[in-house]
Amino acid sequence: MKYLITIIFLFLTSNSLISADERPTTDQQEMYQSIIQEVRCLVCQNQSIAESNADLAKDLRAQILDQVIAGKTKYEIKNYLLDRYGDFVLYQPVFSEKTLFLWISPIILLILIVGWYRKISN
Amino acid sequence: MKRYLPIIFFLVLFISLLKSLFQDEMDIPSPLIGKNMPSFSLTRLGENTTVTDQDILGEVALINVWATWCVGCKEEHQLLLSLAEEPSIKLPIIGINWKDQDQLAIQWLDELGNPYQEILSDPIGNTAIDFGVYGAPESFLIDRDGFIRYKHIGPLTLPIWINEIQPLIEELKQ
Amino acid sequence: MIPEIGQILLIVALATSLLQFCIGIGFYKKSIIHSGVVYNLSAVHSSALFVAIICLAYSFLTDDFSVLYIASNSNTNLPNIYKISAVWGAHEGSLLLWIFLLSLWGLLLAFSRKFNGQTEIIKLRAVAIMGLVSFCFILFILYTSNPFERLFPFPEQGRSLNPLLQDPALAIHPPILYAGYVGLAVPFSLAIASLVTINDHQWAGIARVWCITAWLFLTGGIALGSWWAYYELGWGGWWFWDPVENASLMPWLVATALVHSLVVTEKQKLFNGFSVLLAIIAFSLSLLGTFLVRSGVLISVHSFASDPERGMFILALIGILTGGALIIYTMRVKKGEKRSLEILSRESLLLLNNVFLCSAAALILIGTLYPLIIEMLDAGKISVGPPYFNFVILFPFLPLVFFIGLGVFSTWNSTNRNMISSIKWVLGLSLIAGLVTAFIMFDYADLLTTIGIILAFWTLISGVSPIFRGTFVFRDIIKVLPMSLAHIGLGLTILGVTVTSSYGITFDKSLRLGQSTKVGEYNFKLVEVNNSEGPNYEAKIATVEISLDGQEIAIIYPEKRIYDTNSPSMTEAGIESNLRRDLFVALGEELGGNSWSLHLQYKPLLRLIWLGPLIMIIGGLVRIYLTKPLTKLMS
Repeated sequence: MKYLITIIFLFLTSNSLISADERPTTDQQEMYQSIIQEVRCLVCQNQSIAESNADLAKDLRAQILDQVIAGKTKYEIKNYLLDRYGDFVLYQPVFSEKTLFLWISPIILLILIVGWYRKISN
Repeated sequence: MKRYLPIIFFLVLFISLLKSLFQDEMDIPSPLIGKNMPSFSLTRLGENTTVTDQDILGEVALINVWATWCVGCKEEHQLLLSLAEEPSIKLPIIGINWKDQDQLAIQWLDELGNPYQEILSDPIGNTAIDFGVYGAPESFLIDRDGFIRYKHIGPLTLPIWINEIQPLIEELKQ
Repeated sequence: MIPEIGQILLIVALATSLLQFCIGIGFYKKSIIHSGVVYNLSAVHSSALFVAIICLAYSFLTDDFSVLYIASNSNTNLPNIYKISAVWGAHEGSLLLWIFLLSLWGLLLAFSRKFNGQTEIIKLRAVAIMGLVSFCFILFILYTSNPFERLFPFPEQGRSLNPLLQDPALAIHPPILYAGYVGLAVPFSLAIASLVTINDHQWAGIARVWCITAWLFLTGGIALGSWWAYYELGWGGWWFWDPVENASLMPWLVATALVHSLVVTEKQKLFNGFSVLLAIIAFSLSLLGTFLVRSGVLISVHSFASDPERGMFILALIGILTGGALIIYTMRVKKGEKRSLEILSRESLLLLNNVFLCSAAALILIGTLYPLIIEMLDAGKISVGPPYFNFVILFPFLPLVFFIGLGVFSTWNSTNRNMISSIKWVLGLSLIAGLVTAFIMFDYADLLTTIGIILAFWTLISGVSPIFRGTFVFRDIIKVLPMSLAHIGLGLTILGVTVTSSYGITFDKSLRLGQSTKVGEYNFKLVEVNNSEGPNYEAKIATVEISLDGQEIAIIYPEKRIYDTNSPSMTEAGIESNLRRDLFVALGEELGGNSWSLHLQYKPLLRLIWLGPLIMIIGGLVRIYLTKPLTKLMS
């Protein structure tokens, strides 16, 4: 009888004995945290899903955590989101013809500055 | 010549901002338009049987994501019922009950009517995520081969039906 | 009755500002004779607005829900301090605060020291232009955003203030920030007044102190906003590159450039055109910020109730003020004298720094407006957020910080020969300090972190060194103290930002009651969760014990509050902080089995991020209040 109770007790508290596969490692936690901060919440559009309390944000966080634990790379997870929700969902603009100017502008600016500075100091 | 740069830049900025004010609020465009609908395998509402995306192929159909907690779904329900009941419109409507409870959904449909040929349960929401759903209701028009042709976010209205969806259905049925 | 008095006062303010402009600008001949009238008008104008705000505050305190603004933003359960702060808690009232502060600046300018001859005319015309700015804004309020508008039939109970705003920081963040925004109208007005009067460099000497003062408020306002976001929003971030944050950072960058440019214009009579342009741009960015926040074109956590009609009005306002200013600039600005600049002279380096500052502002502007432009071109919807800005801002910032160090050692007109040896010292010290901090204090560092820390020390040490160079004469120290403090403040901020970003630890963890987890070296234990109540909310309060090496160092109480069933729950984070590090816990969801999800953070040197601006502000205050009187005292 005591044996049975012990087994049942262990079974009931085995919540803490979840297999290591379902808990993220430190590295995985880091990747998870950094990804969720880069994903825009589509319901409360002024927050990332990291901060948002919206249901969709919670669902996406859970989905992303699962994928991180399953070993998917950041690139794969981001593509997963892009395929379903489009460019808007990521805070880092995808590099494409649309965003060419956006991404090149700092370099152009630097080149302009260097050129101008050399001109005026000669 | 340099002196004109600031005012020119300002003019460009000013006109852009002016134009943006008159911009209509744009919905988030779906990247799924023109692509195959995502594969899924969901149970029928209140039953044990499963339906997959393959089962839906073969007809032009409307997939409608809805929930009992969603106010907009009540708004469009009347329209969906009339679409289902009108004999000249042969458009199967497939409902996906999103993040809901089966009993509540069955009760809701009993009270308000059931326009759906099939009702599938997505309580966890993973299929909805695959469809890029971010708020209920959302409706997807799929063609015979299962490609998503049109997506509408928010309650379906008669103008949308007449102006956007119906013509597209005509096109697809040819 | 009281709201009607407020309404009438707004009309009085409208009239006085119009008169202030017309008389001051000389629609009446020989305006200088009437300068007294103009200045007195500004006093009447400010007083009217002050009493108007009192009227609104009074209506809040007496729960007058027949006023639409009050019904929308307050209710009887709201604590009194928040009823007063709610005056500027939403669009209409915050605009009232805006124009009041604007009128105060005009008043201060009007009653500042009297000049002689043409310079006094510049001042007079500047006061007139401030009147025009006020006039435009009061028109805006009266036509589209009247805080005194009545509501009929009026409700028994108001809607209440957004729970996020029910915080002491609401009492100080907007007033200080707005004081900065509108303060930039002073150099703006002086610049234009100068263009239409004698059109030379003299305005710079006058404008400089005004610019520093406005800059002080802007610095304080931005730092307060960041600090508030950190402890209030429940996720431990302190800067999000949100459009409204950007809208405050852009004028700050340009105002910083303006302060430096005015130094050159005043002392070397150079770059006058550039200074004038910067003055125009700085205030215009304030106006642009107002537009972005209140027109609804951009989604932001700060967006006030948006309305395209309001957007149209503000845009028209910008068209008149900025457009008008730029037209005058294009017509009147003189070609700069062709003087060749020594490559490492002070004027040259200051110019270079200003170019980097303006580039940073330009990049932020591009990033903020880009989604708008893409949508306008029907090219879809994209998001431009922290990953973009954090990357892109480094392009101007890294060279900027490097050249700041050089600039400190530079001299006017010539390349300082001694500079090289001084710089070698500072560079060496910075490298050592940086590498020690990175690798010994923190164990590891990637390239960017190392560069960041070295640059932080570079800024700090170069900022401190002018104090120790030369003789320890108090008068000389006071002269360099403002700049030193400002640069030291900047260095501290850079150090805080780099260290906290690189070495901070963040993660989510579910804990059962009694369970603990490690965050870095610290142990966090969830002891218990209790129910509690506030004046207008219900809460769950967790008790979290933090210990280090077995010794308990703090107990903190993160909360989850529910204000009403319609709003989402609010997290009040539990924070244990000192200058060395912040330990942060936010209470998440209740999971089954007495466990809770917690958001945990360890943030080293976080407080430096706000200590920096504080030191910068002290530097500015020294410049305004102490420099002149103390140097006079010493000589």
